[in-house]
Amino acid sequence: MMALARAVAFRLLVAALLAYLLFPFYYAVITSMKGGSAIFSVDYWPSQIDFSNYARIFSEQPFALNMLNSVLVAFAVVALSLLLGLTAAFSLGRIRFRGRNALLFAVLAVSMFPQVAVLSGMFELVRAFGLYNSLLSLVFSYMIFTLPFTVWVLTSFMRELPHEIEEAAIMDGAGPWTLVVRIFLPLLWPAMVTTGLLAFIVAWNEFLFALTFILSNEQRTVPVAIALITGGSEFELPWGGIMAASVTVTLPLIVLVLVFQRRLVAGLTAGAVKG
Amino acid sequence: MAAAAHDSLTRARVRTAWLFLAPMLLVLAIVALWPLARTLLLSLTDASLGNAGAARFVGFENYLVKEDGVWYGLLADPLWWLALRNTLTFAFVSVAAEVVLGTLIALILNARFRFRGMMRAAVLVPWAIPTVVSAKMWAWMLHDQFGIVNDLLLRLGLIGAPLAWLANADLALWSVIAVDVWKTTPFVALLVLAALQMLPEDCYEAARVDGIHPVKVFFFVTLPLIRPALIVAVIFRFLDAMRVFDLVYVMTGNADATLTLSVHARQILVDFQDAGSGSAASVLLFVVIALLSVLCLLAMRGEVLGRRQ
Amino acid sequence: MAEVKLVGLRKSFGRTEVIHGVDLRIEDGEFVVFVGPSGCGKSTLLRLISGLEEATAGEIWIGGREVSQVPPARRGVSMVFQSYALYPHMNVYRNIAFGLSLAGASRADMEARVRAVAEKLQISELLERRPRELSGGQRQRVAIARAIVREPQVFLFDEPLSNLDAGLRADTRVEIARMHDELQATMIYVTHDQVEAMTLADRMVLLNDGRVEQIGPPAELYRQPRNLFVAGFLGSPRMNLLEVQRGEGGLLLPGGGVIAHRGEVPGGRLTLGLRSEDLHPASGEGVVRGEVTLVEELGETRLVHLRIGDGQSVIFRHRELPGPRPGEQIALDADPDRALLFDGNGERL
Repeated sequence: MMALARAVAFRLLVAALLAYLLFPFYYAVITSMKGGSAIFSVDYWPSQIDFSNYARIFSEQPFALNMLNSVLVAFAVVALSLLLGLTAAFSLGRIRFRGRNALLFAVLAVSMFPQVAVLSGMFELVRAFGLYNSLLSLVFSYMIFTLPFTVWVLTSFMRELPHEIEEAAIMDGAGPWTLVVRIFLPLLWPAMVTTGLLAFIVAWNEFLFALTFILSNEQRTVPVAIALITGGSEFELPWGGIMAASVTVTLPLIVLVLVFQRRLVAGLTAGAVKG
Repeated sequence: MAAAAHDSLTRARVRTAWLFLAPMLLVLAIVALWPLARTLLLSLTDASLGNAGAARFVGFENYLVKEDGVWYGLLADPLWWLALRNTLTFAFVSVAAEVVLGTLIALILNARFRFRGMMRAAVLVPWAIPTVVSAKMWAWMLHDQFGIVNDLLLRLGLIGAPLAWLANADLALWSVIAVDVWKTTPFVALLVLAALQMLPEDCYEAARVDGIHPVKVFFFVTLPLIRPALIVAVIFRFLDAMRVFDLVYVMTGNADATLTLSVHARQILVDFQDAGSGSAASVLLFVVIALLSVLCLLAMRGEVLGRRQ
Repeated sequence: MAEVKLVGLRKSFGRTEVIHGVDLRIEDGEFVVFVGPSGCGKSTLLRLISGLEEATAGEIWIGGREVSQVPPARRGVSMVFQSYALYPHMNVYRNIAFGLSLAGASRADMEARVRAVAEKLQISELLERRPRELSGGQRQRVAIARAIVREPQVFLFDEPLSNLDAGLRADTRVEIARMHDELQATMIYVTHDQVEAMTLADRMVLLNDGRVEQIGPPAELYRQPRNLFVAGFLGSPRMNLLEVQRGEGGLLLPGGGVIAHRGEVPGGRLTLGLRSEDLHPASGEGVVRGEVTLVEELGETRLVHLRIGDGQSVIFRHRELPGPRPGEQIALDADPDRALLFDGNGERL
């Protein structure tokens, strides 16, 4: 009897937890499919299936362009941070030299920088390079988030690779570049996927720089676009559109996360990276 | 004959190390150190965001200055102190809640049950949702007229009239904290879960054989063992929470009730176009976080030393 | 093929010196084994020759060329690692060909050489497989193939058999010996296993604490160890070492036995070394007497532990049946010509 009660209580706890974690997204999906005045009534179950909100964000706003911008920025950020992170991790993880630990610590310190602390300086730089209102300004400025953890996670994975494989390659005549590209890169592939995914999520979600360095609607990335969605008139509630946009940008992310669940958890906990 | 220098191979390897580090270091210097240095410098001027060229050096006037017997500057501004108080409240309360809730979720995830795989995937969902999106989702759920939260509470009879969760100055900060807890608890849960999974099984078997109550086992066996992981999670989360921007800005804008140091600094910098004072606010936030980091490091070192003895 | 010469070789890690000046000449085509207890510097010495570590001082000559500042790949040496160190993401063919392709060999040349080596090591059918699909013995062959294909002047082996089980280890040992006969290449081999060392080596280099204790053919190190360390390191069971005194007509053993000794005997502390197989049951008084404490049956022979005089113990190899029983009193004779005498500094007289 006690055992049964306990089992039921546990199930209830799990169910409550699931509801807590998933309900907001579920509610966003329901809301996004409400057209017209249905938005003014609170519904707990899907009351209608109407994709007009989705159609509207793509027709009335340059939302497709915003998505494309986000994808471009995220991919560029991932590629650049993996390239720079991998070569740096080779040095930090594989070669003994003076100042190595100090460097690692300094890189970690950068990840503690508050974003606004570099905002005015970064704004100047972006202007000086002529990158204002250009996606490149975002690719460039996002390095401050992605490089520190990319370097850290890849370095820790790099250190775990057996020494003898590297030495065998050195005996075979491999120089540093060959080592990195033909030995370490293939061996670190899982770690690269994990860090790449984390970098992608960071770049996809970033808000403050995108808000500050981008001026025109056409150059915006999705988080800013969503934050700035307003109704057609002062009296129209824009929530249907906002939720449609939210669901649109979140779905691919959720799919990614579910597919790469194990890898992501390994990466998050290995580097104890910020979420 | 042997060359005079007997370490050319080692030296070549160290040269390689620096060569391979150079691109990363260069980029990091450009995107982190240089802007930080410029921010520091700008904070000592009266620059405006449009033309930093015409700036005049003003010393610490942006921070604190006494003119005609009256104190001016950020440190004399009650709004800055309010932002500091809001930020600290936000960081302490949200991190405390996240750690308690995260540990609870981790314990559930560590148990064996049928839907564990699904549960683990579900935990990642709030974490994966962009902050802006979660802010918007919750802002809609907390909407004063059409929000589902008010509807639910009214139906359950917990409140008599709809509450303005985000507009009411007494509630806004707590609403924002609740959303942050929802979004970030999964991260803490995953860290704790990783620690839980590394615990030795035999302690538990011994405890079970001895018939010790599970709650007691948690406080006297599990908690001490996962303490290091918890401390790491707390420090990471705390330093992160001190910088909070997106969530607050999207949910409540620049409202006083939820004004955090980051939001405040951005407001001066971008909205008021005051690069000097805005940079000073940024520098102050940097200093606050740096101080807290040092404190955390010292606490962690004390912890490590304490454990050794 | 080439001779290898080390002159005054030293290596320090930080402030601790681990190789204290090694001089050594290895002839062209010779099979030399570095042996010694763990931490003696044998692997470090091998790594200095390979170039994976850089010497702090001294010279390394390979084939008449001083190579201590030459990168590993250009020293004309190949190395077989303890863990085999195969590239997990490449198939066997690419594992073997990797060095050749980096050296810029043509595709046809590479293919021909890889196939030839694979043929020789009987791994032709495995060329398409990944290392994780191979057994331990197969991996070992691939590692050797990778070393051979580059046609080095010198082969270096770093404990290549220690990851194999006992049966495979014996087989591979024989195979390496055959490979040496066939290739007539200079080979340097590191091991802590003295059976491997004795069976494979033309000459053994016994190292202790970063110094060479003795160099010579295995039988010479076994029969004429230069000092107590060498005497004690080689041979299983360990050589019996007994404190003795100069006496009338020879050396006085604990328990009152006397063994004849030719030549000068200095004063001071003396240690007598007797191998277990050089002792045999005496018909009369014998030189050593004592009580049997333990009998270890080995089948063909048995090791008998004897407690003698002042609590020291002696092990001897007993051949005839039936063997003695614990508790029995036994007297042993020793061949005076086989007995070794060491002075107070541990040096053999």
